[in-house]
Amino acid sequence: MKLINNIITKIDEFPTLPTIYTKIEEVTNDPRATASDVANIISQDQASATKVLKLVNSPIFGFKRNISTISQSVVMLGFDEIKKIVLTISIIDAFKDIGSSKYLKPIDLWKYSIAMGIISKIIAENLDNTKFKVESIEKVFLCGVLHGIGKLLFMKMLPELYDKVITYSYENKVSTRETEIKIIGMHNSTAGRLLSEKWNLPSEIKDVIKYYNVGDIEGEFDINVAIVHVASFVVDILEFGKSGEFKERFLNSKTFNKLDLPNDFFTKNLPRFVSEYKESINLLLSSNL
Amino acid sequence: MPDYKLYKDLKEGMVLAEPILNNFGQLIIPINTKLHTKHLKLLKVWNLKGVMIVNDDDKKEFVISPILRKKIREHILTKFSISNKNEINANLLNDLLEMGIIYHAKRVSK
Repeated sequence: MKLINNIITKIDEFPTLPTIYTKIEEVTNDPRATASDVANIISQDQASATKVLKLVNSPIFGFKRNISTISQSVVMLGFDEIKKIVLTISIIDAFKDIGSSKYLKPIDLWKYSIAMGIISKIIAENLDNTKFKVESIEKVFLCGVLHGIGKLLFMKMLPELYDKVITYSYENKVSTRETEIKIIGMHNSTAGRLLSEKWNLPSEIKDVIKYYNVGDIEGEFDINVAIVHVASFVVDILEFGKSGEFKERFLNSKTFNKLDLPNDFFTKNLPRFVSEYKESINLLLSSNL
Repeated sequence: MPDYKLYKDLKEGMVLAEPILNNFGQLIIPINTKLHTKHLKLLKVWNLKGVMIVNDDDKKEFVISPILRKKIREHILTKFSISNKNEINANLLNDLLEMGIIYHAKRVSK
């Protein structure tokens, strides 16, 4: 119990998101805000401006043409998307220096998370839009990336203890989720949700963190949860990065069927999965992003 | 598996693996076009970063031996179980497995 309280306090003391993100949020909430207001905030922070341009031109956003200025990016993507880009950059920065484990290196967990974002995005793009309304493809990408943010949080806050969790799970081939409860007393999804509340992340992301593993919200279909659930099996099969889970997981048949993907969806999109994953990890995990 | 090539890496003779459309969805260059100078100029005018190109390996038939296929399939099946097995869309599930088999078989053969 003492440890759980300690974790909750640590999450509470965890750094807030950078000022650039909060400033953008403030401005975009103002109905009179213009694209140049947002562009000015980003341009003032040279490091962020460079990162935004790199991301905007990456396969994650899929623009075929080069976007060379911040103001062009804001106009082309809109306020919400720019906010998500800055959020992605801020989160990667927040978890840059985290503890390592013999059986789970941070770089592998990041690769897994980015792959989850990419595959989720490709699934969302291929859904029948007469049946499903995906509000924003980029939000789906973010849901995929952040599905396991609790693990990153544990690796950063409790490096030695989380190493024990991973080592025990690996050596005994048991579920990491169960070991987390046994050793830490808290599941990574609970920690992830606490952080997402502190950071005031969109509610869809909180739902994905909590439910992606089972594939539905207490029996009810949810499009974001379903996409990330199915994406996790693609990523596991292709072995893109490592999730830190060593026991077999359950594929939710109802969710799998309900997305109504074409019967050749996975083999047809395999080249895209591979090329976009490779390009994105090079971009997002390069030392200069 | 097609390759994504940046504009600077494109060469005459390469074959497009995707159609090139403008912002309004109108066709500029069709799929399977063999690139000539005029196409490269057009791509530059449209300021395209890159395009998907047919990989020469795709033209060769990729054969996976039954032993390798079985081995990879068994390996993939250790990763997950299925809730309500009888209800699942078997065709889509087989496609998911086939995706893994093709990917790992190509990696092994490299």
